[in-house]
Amino acid sequence: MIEQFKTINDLSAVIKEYEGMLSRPTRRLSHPTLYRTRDVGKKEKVIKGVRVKDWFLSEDEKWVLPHNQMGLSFSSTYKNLKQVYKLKEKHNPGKVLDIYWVLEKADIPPGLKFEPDLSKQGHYFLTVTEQMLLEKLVEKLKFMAQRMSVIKGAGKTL
Amino acid sequence: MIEYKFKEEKEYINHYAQKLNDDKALELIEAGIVNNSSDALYLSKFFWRMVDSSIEDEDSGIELPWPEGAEFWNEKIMNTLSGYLDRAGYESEWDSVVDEQ
Repeated sequence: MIEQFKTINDLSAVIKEYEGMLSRPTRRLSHPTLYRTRDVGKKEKVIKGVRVKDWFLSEDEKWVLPHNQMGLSFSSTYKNLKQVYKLKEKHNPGKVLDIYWVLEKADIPPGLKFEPDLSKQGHYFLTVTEQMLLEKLVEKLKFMAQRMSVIKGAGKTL
Repeated sequence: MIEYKFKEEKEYINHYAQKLNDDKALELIEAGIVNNSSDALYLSKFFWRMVDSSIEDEDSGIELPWPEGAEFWNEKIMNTLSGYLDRAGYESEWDSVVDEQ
């Protein structure tokens, strides 16, 4: 496994080789599974690092409800990763993007599950399978982040 | 048919098609289908023009009519449009435009 890449094309072979690899491009110094206010639009609602619109929340926004097509986005193919990366690159000019990844079958916390996007090949959601308090989801997302591997983007340093 | 996960996706596309005075994009989105390779390419290119325009707006401090930022909607719409074009048999048209970015 390579530890650093210069352009997204460098990752083509890696992603194809590792079956079950699910990845997310993340701006350097941002969190791979939680958001800070600087990562989102000015009026976008984020609670404790959870971007509200990504999940199926109860009306009072205290609970996260199961939904197999809502959650955190991941790419399962190089092709999908490439387009997400290019989009993020445009939105973050001059910033370095790293690729965080995990294996689909890896030890993910109970109550979370990867589900394929039924309308987009190569795109997965990290979903919740049982109702849980938003604070519990945050704990689980932090746990996930600690277990994710990272391939560092080189930015303009290489 | 193009199937949206959020109704705001279509509103967002229409917002930018109007802003960019792009009648062809408005027609394609209203029809919800593309019928040939040329239209698939057009829609793919429109998507990235919309992305560039939305970034210009954010840089200029122009607020969107929705609470979520442009990056959120652009990513959702990218999945919607590319998923549709894949299913409709126009994967290579979409991919070729991604490679131009």
